[in-house]
Amino acid sequence: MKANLKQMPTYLSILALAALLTIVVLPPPYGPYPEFGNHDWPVAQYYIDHTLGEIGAWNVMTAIVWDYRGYDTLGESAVLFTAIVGVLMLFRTREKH
Amino acid sequence: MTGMTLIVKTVSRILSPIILIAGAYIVVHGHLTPGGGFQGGVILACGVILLIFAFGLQSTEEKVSLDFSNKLKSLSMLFIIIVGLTGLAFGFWFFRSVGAFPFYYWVPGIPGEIPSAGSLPLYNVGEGIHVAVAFIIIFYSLTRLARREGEE
Repeated sequence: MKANLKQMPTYLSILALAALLTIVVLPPPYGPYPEFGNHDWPVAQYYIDHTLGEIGAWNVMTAIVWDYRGYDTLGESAVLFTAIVGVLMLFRTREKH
Repeated sequence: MTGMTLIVKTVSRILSPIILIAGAYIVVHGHLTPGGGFQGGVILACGVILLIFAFGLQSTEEKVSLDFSNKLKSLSMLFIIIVGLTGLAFGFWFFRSVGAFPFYYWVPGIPGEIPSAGSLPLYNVGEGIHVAVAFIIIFYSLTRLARREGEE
């Protein structure tokens, strides 16, 4: 614990450097940040415009959940799977012989 | 646990298939109407949980056993991942719904019909089975625990 406290300035400087790099380096490829409070996000309009053409689904939500963000939904399913395994492990019943 | 009275048994005997059909409808129409795998799966599970309430754990487990639910849980998870990998197999990225408008590779379909939207219906079916079986397993486990503690 003492060693961690001694190295605190190092950690803080690394964090500050990471934050600075995030602010400085990230915007150029994705364009400037939108103004605060301005909800004109291009991604949402892209989903609405291109779902029927690219996916062919009427339900835009399902297209987003299962295609554009499939990894997210796979993770949710994995969380549910882990929850079931945990329940089965915790509440397992031992057959009386 | 032998179940509830005759009135409850009769009503749930009538209601349970209707609930199961409603859940299956929501799962299958997941890419057309509001709803999807999660929501329909929960309704499917409710149809079975109603049977547990009305008829007791013993007679419900004869129809939907815990082992069967366990196998279905793992198989549906595997099914989702395999359907996600078909996107890679057709030259796109993981979880790409192959078969949509510019790239008619697999299950083309007209938008608005059930076999359309690429592999979204398959995802929804897999997820619906997964969620339904998950809730059934959790309810079985908790009911068994409650019964065991009641005996002791």
